[in-house]
Amino acid sequence: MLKRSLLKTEILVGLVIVILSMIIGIINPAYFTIANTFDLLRSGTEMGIFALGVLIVIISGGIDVSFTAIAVVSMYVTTKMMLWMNYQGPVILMFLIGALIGIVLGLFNAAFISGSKWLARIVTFLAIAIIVGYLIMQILLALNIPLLAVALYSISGVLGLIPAFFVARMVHGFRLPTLIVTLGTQSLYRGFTLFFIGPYHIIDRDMPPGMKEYFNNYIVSIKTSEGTTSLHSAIFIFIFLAILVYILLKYTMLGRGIYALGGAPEAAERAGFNITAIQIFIYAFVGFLAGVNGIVHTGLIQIANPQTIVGTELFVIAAVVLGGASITGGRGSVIGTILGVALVIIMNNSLILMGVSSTYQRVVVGLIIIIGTGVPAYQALRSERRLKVISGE
Amino acid sequence: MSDNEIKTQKDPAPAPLAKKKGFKFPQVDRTLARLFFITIGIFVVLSLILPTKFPTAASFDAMSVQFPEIGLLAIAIMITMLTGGIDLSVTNIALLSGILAATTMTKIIQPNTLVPDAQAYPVILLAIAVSVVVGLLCGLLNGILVAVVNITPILATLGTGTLFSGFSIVITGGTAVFGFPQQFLFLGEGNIFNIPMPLILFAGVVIAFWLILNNTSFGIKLYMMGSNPKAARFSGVDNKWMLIRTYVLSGLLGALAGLLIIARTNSAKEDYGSSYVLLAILIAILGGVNPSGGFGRIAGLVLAVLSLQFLSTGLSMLLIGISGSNFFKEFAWGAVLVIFMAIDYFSIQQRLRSGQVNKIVKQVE
Repeated sequence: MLKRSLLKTEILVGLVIVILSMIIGIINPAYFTIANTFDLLRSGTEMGIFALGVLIVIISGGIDVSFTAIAVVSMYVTTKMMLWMNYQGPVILMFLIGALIGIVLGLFNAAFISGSKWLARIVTFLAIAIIVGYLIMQILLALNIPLLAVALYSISGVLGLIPAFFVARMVHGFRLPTLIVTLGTQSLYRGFTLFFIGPYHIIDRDMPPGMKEYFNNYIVSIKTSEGTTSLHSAIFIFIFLAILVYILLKYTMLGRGIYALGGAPEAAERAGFNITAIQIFIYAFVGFLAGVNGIVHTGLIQIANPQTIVGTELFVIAAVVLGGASITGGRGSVIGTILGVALVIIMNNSLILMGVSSTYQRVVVGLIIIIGTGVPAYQALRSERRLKVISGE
Repeated sequence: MSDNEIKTQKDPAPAPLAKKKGFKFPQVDRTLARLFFITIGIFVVLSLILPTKFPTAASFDAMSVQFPEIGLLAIAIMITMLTGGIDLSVTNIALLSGILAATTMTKIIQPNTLVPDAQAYPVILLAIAVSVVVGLLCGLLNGILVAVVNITPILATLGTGTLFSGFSIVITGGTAVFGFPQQFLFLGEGNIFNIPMPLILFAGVVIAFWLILNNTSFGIKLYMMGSNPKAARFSGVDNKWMLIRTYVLSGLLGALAGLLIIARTNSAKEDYGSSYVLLAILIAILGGVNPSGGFGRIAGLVLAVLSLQFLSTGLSMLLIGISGSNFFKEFAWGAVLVIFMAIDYFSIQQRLRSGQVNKIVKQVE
């Protein structure tokens, strides 16, 4: 029953894509050119990687809006770090560092969401140590006590660590609402990057050499009348990750746990799933995907601008929900998500081809979200009523 | 807010019902008392750090013009949170209604021209009416999507928010609308008996909502529905109609905030105040509103908006001359939101462990 309804959503979205493509193609034949196809695939790569993460969070019954900010941190901090180290090697190191940054930030989210005792204690400990230590250092500086720099740092450090240790011992984990935590961390990550690391973008010729090489890492390049169009190899990263998530959700106990958690957390816990561990994995994995995507973004756009990406999270969530994932959790598939992403990308990129002014873009996207979430919500309401009638409630 | 008033506040959960029975909790409302001290603390600390800049008449004047608009948006977030939902579209409603009011005025009266009162007032009234009607309609759409179509509030208002901001872009074409009649700007810049207009408006709305939430059947039903929708339904509350009314009210608050914003800045643009959503949510959470519904007092919200305004102004003064102080604020708001929620959760857990909190609160929590 459940499987059939999900399949129906996928077929429906697929049909809409085919019909829409035909309409756009008739209005403007430029839609079916290789250049446009590559363009759509490139946009799809980026949104697709994000969408895989959002899919997992939404299946688990949560919501994450901080992933775009994680991508920004990964992209900008990694690039800056490589430039600072004067790194000359291949781009793979950037991917590793980006992924690591993503995982750490994902774990930071999980510390507030999952209820994990140790993550909460570590975060509490670090936060209090930093804040108290900093305040004590400021007070010592203000008092003008003649101290060596080493003494100053060690006194404030030790005085910060002591309360941090005792408070952290009292913490038994946090379970806070996912939307509000990730709204907060989104602002925190982005603000941190822009203020402490820098607000200015890094253009292509200033990039580390490994990254410059990666810009031109194309699978195919085709010469057309309007110049060459190329397909970047980053699409393989997306395909690989999509297969990984597909297998994870379908064939592993962890994946079943994610569905169970989204369907009914209490039942999942009673059935023996460690929901804390599952949630830690989910948010760390979303962070990992976002971290990788930050580097992919740099490779595709050939610029590292910390003021972009944040703000697109709503489109990604819309794509995942359109693809049949239930925002209340427990339902969703990789194939549906890919179709949802395709639909949103086609809509986003093809309005101009259809002669619709770009100013209408947001209106159309808003309507897509409302209709895409409204129809399944209304259907669910109706089937619930029907069930009540049958059971005579 | 006097100390005395805080002491008479009751525990947030059963307050509306308890009042009717004449039952009084001996305990001081912890959230409110704590917030009160936080606000005072922030004020004192900033006054000590910045003795010549912070506690001055000029800075109070500047602050009292700034916080009312964000305060109105926070009240909108608060009442929708009381139902267990959220209205993420409220800033977009504010901007759409503000932009429509702005275009109404600039279409009829040439921008930046002086016109006599008799000519200006009908236009201003029309503009205000336009903005209010737009706010109500936007709220109605949200209410219908949430209550009738049954979409999760986060997603419904995410969609409508995108839609409304899309309309704003379509109307303005991405450019700013500016140059309103002098008489309209009184709303944002003028003052009566030396009290700035935005502050008077905000105070009026706060009193109105204090009365609505505490003394009307609507308010009591709102708390009931938020803490237990099923129980509310079985005790005769029309949940759907309540939800629609709440979102309409939220739209109205958005429209008022929009009017204040355009009157203060003398311009209207579609990307203005895009960071206000997070700030409004932050204020609501800081003010003790429970995002899963049923808890939250208007007094807490007022204290929260005050303390955040102090912090914002203080940070601006401290970071003067450092580039990107806005980014630091973005960082700080995120940190404050997460830290505060964590402390709140921690303190509830501590009390649960020591058995101070009764079972009702435990269940809700």
